[in-house]
Amino acid sequence: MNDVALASRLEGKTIGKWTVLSRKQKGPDDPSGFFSSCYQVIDGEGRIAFLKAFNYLYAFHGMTGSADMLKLMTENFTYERDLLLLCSTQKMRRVVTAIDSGEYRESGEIVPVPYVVFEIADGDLKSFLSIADLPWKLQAFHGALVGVNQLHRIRIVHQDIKPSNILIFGKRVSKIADLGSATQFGNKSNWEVPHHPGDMRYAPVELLYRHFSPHWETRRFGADLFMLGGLLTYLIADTNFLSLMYHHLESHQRHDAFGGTFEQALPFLINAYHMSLAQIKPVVPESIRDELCAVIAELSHPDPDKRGNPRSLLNRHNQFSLERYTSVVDRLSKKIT
Amino acid sequence: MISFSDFDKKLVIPTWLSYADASKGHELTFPRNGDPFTLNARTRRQFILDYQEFKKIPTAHRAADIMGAAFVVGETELAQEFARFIVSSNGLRKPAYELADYILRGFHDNPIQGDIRSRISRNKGLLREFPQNAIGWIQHARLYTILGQVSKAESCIRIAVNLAPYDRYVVRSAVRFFIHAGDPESAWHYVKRASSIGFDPWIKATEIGVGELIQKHVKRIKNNVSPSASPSELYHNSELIESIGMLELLNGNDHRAKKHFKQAWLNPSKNVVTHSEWIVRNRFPDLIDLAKPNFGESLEASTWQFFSTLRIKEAIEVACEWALEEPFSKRPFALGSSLSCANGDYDRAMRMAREGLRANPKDFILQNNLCVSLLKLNRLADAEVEFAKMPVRTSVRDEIIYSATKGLVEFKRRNFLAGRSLYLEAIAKATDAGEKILASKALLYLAIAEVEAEVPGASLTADESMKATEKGNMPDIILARAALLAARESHREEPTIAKLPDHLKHFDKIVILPRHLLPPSK
Repeated sequence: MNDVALASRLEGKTIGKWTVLSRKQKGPDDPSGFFSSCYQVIDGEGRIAFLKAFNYLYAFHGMTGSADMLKLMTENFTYERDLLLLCSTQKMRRVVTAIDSGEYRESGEIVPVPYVVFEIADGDLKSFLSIADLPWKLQAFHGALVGVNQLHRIRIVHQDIKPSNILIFGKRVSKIADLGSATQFGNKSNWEVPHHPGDMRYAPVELLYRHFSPHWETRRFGADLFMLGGLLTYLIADTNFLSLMYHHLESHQRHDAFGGTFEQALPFLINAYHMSLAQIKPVVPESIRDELCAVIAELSHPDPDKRGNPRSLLNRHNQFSLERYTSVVDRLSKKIT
Repeated sequence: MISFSDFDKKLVIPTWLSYADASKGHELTFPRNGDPFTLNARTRRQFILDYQEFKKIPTAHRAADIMGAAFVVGETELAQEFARFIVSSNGLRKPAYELADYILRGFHDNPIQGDIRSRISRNKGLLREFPQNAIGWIQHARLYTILGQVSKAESCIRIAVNLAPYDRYVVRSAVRFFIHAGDPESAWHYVKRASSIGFDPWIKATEIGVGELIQKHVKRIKNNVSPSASPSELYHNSELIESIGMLELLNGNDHRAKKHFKQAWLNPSKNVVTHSEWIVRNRFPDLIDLAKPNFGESLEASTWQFFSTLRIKEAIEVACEWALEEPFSKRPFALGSSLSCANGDYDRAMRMAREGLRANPKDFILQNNLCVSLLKLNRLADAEVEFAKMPVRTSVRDEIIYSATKGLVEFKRRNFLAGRSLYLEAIAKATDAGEKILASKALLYLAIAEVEAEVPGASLTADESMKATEKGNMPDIILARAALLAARESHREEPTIAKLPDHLKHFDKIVILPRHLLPPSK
């Protein structure tokens, strides 16, 4: 058996109707390809796509608990694939959905390689920022908002919203990608954990402070809203909201040093939140400043119970509904065009 | 006559630092116990991928993303690497550069800009926009308090304490404010409410202090902290242990009090250091070796220590620093202006008194020190204006000081008989009240006034007052004696009368220092 996992050496192979062209994001530090490896593939009609191959061999890296790990990985793959199929069925046009999926086997290899094929993007959000103007950025954010809103409508939460998970198609159309940490209400996944399953660098602040709301909506939708607020801040101010907030905290107040309760942290987090908003405000054009800053403020409130639409308590609307934000951001992007 | 007023009974009451200063210290920390924070596999993987991607396409926007992300999860070296890239690149928005700058330097650019009024104006704008910011309201209240606008400050404090009723910084600041504003009942209300929600040793210590101040019953609390507890645990409980020790002391249990103090001073908070200095100076001088190593951590403790060891210039310098730290408090200004007067720097004394009066317009000692320094500067008209504003005297000590200062006013008006009579009145009041130090000081200040006015018989008064106070070893007596000697040096008057004036005949009887003020017998 080859030392390198099959999932990490698929270049040149034919998988279903796809021929693997090249591997994306090769990791010299980890030839095993972590959990998954990504490739550019082409089909018989010349359509280029993106293949994500899951590396089950990873499960055998640990000497103990391999069977559990394999089971976990299989479940995760199946869950993600099913969610992607569901999104396709629901015609979620702002979510990057699967165009194919299957399992690749090779003689002499014990472990099969499950894969999912996606439409290929021109790049992620970061690839376009140096040439993007504000209307473009707001439209890109609008696309991500619509995508997350489409997921939220069927009670799927993404849980890993960040710049590299917003893909750009045809230089204008943005979509939310990577449902690898997503979970659906009532359809329990392995990501239905109290802590943040996604990239912790963009995690909602309450989860970093080990505060887990007992309400699923507050905990999960609230988390997505916070990450959307962080994304919008990154587009507007070139830095994530969480990093701006942390900039206003002393080191002993940050989650890795703080041992108090979330309630004890809230006064200084709220102070840092307000200082961050004050810092963002001057970089937003005056014509849209108040409305856009209000969107950031509502999405990024450190207290998940106060996040989202502040008027929801009065009119009994869903506090975490993204409908209003999608229309506000769309309008603002057109206003400054 | 100037006064070095100190507490008769100093309780452990929190200081009210600016939020920036308070959060830089350890008082607001909540040490994390248990497992350290670790990154999940997904995050670690993404770091590597992002890094590789950046190496391939090194744009400022990618760098900004990685810098912010690394900063959040505490990957300092990585954050710094990207921050260095950002500060040398163009095209990003200001917040990204500010963050990069902060990551590289570790501090913000001067967060306090402009004078108090412009800061109030800026704060108002922020609070209008972000009215839910409890810490912002406390900051705003502090600025109003420094300006002496107590009612405006009170409104801000009440908003803050309702927004964050259990927050350590907010509650302790509110308590300090209400004590400053002469409303300890409100302080009690808020600290009691905060204390009811859960146990926080800092809040509990404050509750004990306020309870003792207004004679409210505080449920007896046991000191459960082991002397071998971790430094962090000792630190976070030091105020509470000190407060328990103070209660024992007030109840006459000196032995138990000492035991608690010794434990509290193992790793004391700044507030405990300040209190320990008072304890050592006033009650347990034998504990000096235990307390002294920490005095440098408290500006208040350092000022008093410099004063009590007669290092007056250093004491003044530290008092000025202390005044910057607690600009609303009367105490650094009162002590600073008294020290400056004693050092003959009347101009500085006047400025410090005026500065202190801004936040404490009705403070007797500050108003008195202002009058004395103006009189010493021979600005009689100004001094008379200020003397007319002397607040109502609330204690015998105030009455004594008032009479003596009024005596100096009369001396400056060249009404020597009236002046002398007022000084004598002060001495008599002090003697009646058993205030021997004040009596001694009034006598010495009478002599100084006579020598400076070149009154006939001034030499005799000076000789007698020196004789009557020769056993005084208190710093203020020593300073007053030194001032008298200096006055005699610069006014070499000869007595024009040979007979002891009648008013001096009984001084040796009235100015007898109490036994505890005498040098220790060997």
